Amino acid sequence: MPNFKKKILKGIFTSFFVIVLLFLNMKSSNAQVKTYTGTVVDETGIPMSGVTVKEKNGKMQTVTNKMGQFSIQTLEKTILLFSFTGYNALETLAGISPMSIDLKPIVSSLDDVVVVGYGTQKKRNTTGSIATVKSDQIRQVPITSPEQALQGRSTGVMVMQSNGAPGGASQVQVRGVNSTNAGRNDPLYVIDGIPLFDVLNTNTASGGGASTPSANTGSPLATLNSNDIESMEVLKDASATAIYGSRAANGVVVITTKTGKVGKTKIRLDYYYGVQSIRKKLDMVNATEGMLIRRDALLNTVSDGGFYGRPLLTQAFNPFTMNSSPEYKNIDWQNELFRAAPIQDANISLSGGTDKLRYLISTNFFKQDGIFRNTDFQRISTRVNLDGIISSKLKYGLRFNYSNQTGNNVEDANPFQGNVALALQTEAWNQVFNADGTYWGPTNPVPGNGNLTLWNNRNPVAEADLNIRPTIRNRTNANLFAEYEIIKGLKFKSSFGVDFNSINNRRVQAAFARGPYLIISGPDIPNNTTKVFSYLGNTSNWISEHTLQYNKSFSNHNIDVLLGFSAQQNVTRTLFGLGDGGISPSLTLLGANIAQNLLTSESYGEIGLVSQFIRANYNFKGKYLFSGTVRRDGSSNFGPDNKYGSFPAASIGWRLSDERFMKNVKFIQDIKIRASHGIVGNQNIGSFAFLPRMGASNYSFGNTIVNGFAPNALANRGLRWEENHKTDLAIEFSLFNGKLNGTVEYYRNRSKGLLVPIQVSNFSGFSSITTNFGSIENKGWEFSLNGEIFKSNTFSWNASINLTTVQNTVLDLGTTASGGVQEFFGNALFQHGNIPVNITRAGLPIGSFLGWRSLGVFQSQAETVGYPTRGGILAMPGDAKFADLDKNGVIDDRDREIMGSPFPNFFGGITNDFRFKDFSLNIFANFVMGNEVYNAGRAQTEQFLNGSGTIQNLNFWTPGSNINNPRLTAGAQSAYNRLPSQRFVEDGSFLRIRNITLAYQVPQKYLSKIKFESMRFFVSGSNLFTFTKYQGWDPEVSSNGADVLSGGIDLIGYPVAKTFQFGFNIGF
Amino acid sequence: MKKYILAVFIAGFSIASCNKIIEPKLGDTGQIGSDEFYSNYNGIVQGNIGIYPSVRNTYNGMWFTDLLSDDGESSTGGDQAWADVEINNVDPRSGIIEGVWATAYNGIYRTNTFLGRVPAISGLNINQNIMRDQFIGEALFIRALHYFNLVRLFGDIPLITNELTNLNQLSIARTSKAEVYMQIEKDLLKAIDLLPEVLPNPKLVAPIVGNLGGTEQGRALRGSARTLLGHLYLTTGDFAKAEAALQQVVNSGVYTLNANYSQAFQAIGGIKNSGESIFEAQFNTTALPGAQNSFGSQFGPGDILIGGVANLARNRPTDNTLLESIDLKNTLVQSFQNADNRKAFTVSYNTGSPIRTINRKYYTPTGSQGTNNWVVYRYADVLLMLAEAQQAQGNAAALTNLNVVRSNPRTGLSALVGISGNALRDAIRLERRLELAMEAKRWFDLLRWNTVTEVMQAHARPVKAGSNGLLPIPQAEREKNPLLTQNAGY
Repeated sequence: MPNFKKKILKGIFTSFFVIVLLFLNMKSSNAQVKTYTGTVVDETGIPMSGVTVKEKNGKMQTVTNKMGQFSIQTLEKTILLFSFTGYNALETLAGISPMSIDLKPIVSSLDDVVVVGYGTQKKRNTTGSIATVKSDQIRQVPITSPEQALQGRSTGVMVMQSNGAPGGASQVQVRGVNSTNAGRNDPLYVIDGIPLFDVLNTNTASGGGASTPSANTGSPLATLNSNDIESMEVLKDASATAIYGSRAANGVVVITTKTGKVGKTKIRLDYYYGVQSIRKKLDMVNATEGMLIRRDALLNTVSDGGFYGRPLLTQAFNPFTMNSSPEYKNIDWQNELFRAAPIQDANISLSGGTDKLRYLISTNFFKQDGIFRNTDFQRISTRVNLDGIISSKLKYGLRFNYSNQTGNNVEDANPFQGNVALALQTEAWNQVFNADGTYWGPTNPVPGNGNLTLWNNRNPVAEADLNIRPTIRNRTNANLFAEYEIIKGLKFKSSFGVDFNSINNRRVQAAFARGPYLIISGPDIPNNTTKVFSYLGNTSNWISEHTLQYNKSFSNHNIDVLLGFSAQQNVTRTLFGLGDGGISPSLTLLGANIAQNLLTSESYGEIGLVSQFIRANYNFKGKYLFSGTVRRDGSSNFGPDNKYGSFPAASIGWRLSDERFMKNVKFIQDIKIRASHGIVGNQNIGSFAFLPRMGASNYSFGNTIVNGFAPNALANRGLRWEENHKTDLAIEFSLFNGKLNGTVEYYRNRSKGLLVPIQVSNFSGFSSITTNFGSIENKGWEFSLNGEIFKSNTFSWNASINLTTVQNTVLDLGTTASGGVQEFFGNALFQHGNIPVNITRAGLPIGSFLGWRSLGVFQSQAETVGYPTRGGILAMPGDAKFADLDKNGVIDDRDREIMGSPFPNFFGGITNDFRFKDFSLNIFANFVMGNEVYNAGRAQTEQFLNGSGTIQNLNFWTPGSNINNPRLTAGAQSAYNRLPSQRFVEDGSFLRIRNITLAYQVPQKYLSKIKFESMRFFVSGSNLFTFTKYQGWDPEVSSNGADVLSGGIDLIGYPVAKTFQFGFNIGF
Repeated sequence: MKKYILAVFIAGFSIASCNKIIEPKLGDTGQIGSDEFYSNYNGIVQGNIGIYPSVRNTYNGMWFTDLLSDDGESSTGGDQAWADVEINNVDPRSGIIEGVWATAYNGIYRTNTFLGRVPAISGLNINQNIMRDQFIGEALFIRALHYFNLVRLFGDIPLITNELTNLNQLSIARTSKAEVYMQIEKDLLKAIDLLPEVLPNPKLVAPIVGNLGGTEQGRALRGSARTLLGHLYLTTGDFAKAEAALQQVVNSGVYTLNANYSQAFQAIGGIKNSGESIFEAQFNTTALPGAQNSFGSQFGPGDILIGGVANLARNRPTDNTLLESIDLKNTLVQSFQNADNRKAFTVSYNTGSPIRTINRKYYTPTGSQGTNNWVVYRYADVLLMLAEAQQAQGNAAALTNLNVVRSNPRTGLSALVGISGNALRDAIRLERRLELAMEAKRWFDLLRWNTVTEVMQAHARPVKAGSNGLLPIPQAEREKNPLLTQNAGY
């Protein structure tokens, strides 16, 4: 691979060189009459006949033929003018023949063509809710994965890049969270017509610490080169999504890649190089402060009468007495662990074609080093897109993409293993390297107490460097299609596609002294031995689709009917192994070297879908619009009783502006009102949940392991997909000659029949059974407005804003037999003695925060007397005071109250485009308002024993201080003081200047001389400014990823970087 | 026209090949359905093994009964739910109690499924039929063991002896203690009939090689079932039957007392399934997922000074010479004579401050990955139960059997002489406390002797008023099953 990289770089430098030479060699020449030929194509690359071609300042004129070709005799350096009704006229210098001319249609935004499921539609005729993000927006912000480009770009789409690791997954939620089930809230992604199954994001390996590092596999789209994308369409309402039936509950993102256009070969080079760095560092306590914090916490705890019964050696009060030579440096671990990291993207594409065959070939090299030590992501991909015509009736095409992705990641979000979290939790007196250059490690057990260490003396740098989590992923997609026009207006299209994906994900815990001799459950006990997890997975996915489309207009009636059949199968195989016991750091492959506790497991899964669908659009004069869709899906995930499901949707539209009475309202160009309603589904519930199954239940006799089986699931024959009832109402308008466009939209999604575990008596052998029971509502408004604020010949200013409100409410989660309301708790938080903070309960947003009401701290001994306690722990002055809400005399679980939720009130984005002559400036901001973040990381550093944390930790209560932060304690008292409460709930609202780009477009007059078609240079900055009150690294955080039941928790995950970049786009 | 045909052909082909893809086979995914599984001998073998993990799960946590009793205490502070166990104030919503209930009923569900399906399996050869009988006997023993635990801890409990398949059948009322005891007796009598005295099963007409031959240590044997039956009779006050059953265990000659007391416990240098072992819950290394115990993290001394999870210092032998236990009376450590070798094997102390006791029989510094077995029954227990049954009937052999346990090189104590009546009864009871300390026997003994209220009162940890030592029926279960009534006192 390094060779490949070199080649690309070499290519780039060579082209630079060529450009410079061309500039130097610019010479004027005498004008002569020449014949210029060329082809004119439209925005989709189809040749345009009848286009007028004339000299701008002369009399010569011609018209393109059926193949879009023209030939004109004119002087050199003449400017040619191309014009066609409905298209923007184009002026260009007569250049080298054959010329290749793209005409772009005159766009009021309502005249755009949008990609819908199984086809395209004029935006003016759509009655569904569809948002489009175009290629130039996608490429503006440096991204590893295309879904990140949706952030702030379109209404209704909430993207949280909650893991800043290179290639890390983002959470994409289209109009709220529709399911309580983790991993079932992603939209369906459709790339060039192939719906992707969730690919290897959720692995099922058997228990016993064999859990797989799913976060490392990252985004499902990370294999896609964003330079290749022409547009991304987000289908949001039932009308737009019902064509994808049982997979459309969370919306659909349709990705269309670029295709070639008729004309000579165009070469495009796109490149940028950037430097990323941590956006914000927190001010940490230094070693001396940390030691004092630690000492006082211990002293307070001892004077209280104990610390979990642990002995307190005198050395514990001052870690330096443990070292004979306490030469230490004061370490800010953020400086050691974070770095300035390069990011670069090089893309080359060749496109062109004849009227018989058009092509686009591209190759991309993308490399991002993470801002955290020893993390990176690299992608190499190639695309071949072909479109051919065999006869005027028969067309065919191919979409092919191969992608290779490699990288290394860190553990994050896990308090024991999370390297990132250690940046804020490691003592400033711990060291990085020993004097001899080796990694500093916990070399100082207390004499006579082999298992005793005195503080959390881990070395996160050593862990980051030595513990690796490499991933290799290869993905190949290919889709071949043919379209035959049977009679005019009636087209039959067949396509066959495959998607092969393989992944090798490894996790190596190297053999080195890695920290305190923690005796904890879980897989990372061994110290000084190498532990290896290795995961191999591959999926093969094929799809076969056939559609019949009929399109006819007669008098004022326009009909468009689509009939389709689709079959798709996805097969997943995985092999997983783990072992430990290796003692040489260079032996990291599973096998004889690492053979202690060797464990392997294999899995196989398949999902099949067989579907029929029909869509009928009808409009009268383009004024009254109707659309109806039904898809019937047969899914392998359901038992014989519920194998098939039908998903209908209907919508209507009324183009008010075409009514006679509106004709006189001059400032209105277009107003359309539309409404839709329908039902779509979520079939992603896992296979065979409807069957009673046996699972491994192994035992050992003596020391011999024997294989046994026991029932592992209760049958539920009636299990079915989750249903989502979507209602949508909107008004779209275009005013002032198209200078102001916008949409106001109301939506309401009601999920019904959510898969919820219903509690059953343990007599059944199980404590719960999964049934279709729950119900969730998401509703809100979407506003988008874009307009031309100013335009002159030299200066223009365009702006757009979008804003979405979401109100998420759990309506029903079932009841217990006694009539009690069923509730789900989120992940227990280690930071709080394994108390969960999130609760999902009817009437509240999913994953709301639950905790005790803090009344500050006890300021005096007198205040504590007789005050309710928790677990018999007596409070002292300076300890936290919690309200006994139910007045039962103790602080218990029933005293908790709701403290907020991770759901924002609204979110959106603002874009400003300025153009001055050949310069352009684009400023893009996104915002999220009204959500709360639970700063569990801060709670963790407040346990004071690590003597670490931010300087906030210095602001603790002391007698007479009246400070409302608890005093320094450790152990049980500290756990009590840190009970989940409002104190750790922070406002997560933010406004982020996501990107500022300044670009210079080299004018045509220079370019034509050097025979370049286009040349653009830019500098840009991403995430430079973030306005927020949040105290952690970043408010855009959700350490539990897609687990919506545990959302909004900051466990100190990988922060999002800020980036400076520069680059160029050259076409010739 | 050709193209039409082609198009139709393609569509037709797709449809034909497609119904298959939405009807996948479970077997392809490495799983097996219940009906298919229980159709042959392998299903019997593996279904039987699949029951045993319920024993492991139960005895990974049975030590909580010592915490209920006067033998165990927990570290102060920390977890309210565990503190509640120690002070005998268990909340009906306690997850600990629900876990005990759920684990036992899960085991019962497994045995019911096994016992309901296995007899109908046909096509077995002679050896396989013999093995099936043995496996049925093991399942009956395990069901009896789960019910015996449940009925003693909770009193009246729902009695279910068949596989429940209809989720509408799950509201089941409590059955009286007496009826549950009858079912246990019935199961055990049948089990005794079916189980072999030793392994491999002497009935086998030809030896079977490997695991299926039944040579594995840890399976229930006839002696295990007889011990449990004797224990049952002792609990129901049927002393003659108890004596008979237990005497048969002694007479079988299969079991002997270990020469060294420590030999039964790996944590103090012993081995798994020692000569004294009658039934043990088998734990194993991480090579067997889920087969480790958490004794290390539960019982550990907690002398690791890190602001994270460490040993929890739960269930430590009571010792009122220690500062934080000073309010306790009749503590375990003080009940030992200093000359008693067993004391040092039962309790050790950490070196830090404050000094605390450690449950030495089971503590290994392995966190939640302990591999040492839990001894459910061992021969010393049988002898002491036998002595107890004999004493209750005025049989002089009681003292002899007591002294077999008490006076030998492994204890370092001398024989008791010349005692009888209540003095002998009390001597046997004390001997049980000491010999079987921290082995989850004490609480059940107090319940059986009906002394739990007074003993715990005297220990300064009185039982919940009116409960007579019974635990609350888990509230979560009551919510799912309205027929479940609550015990008195809760």
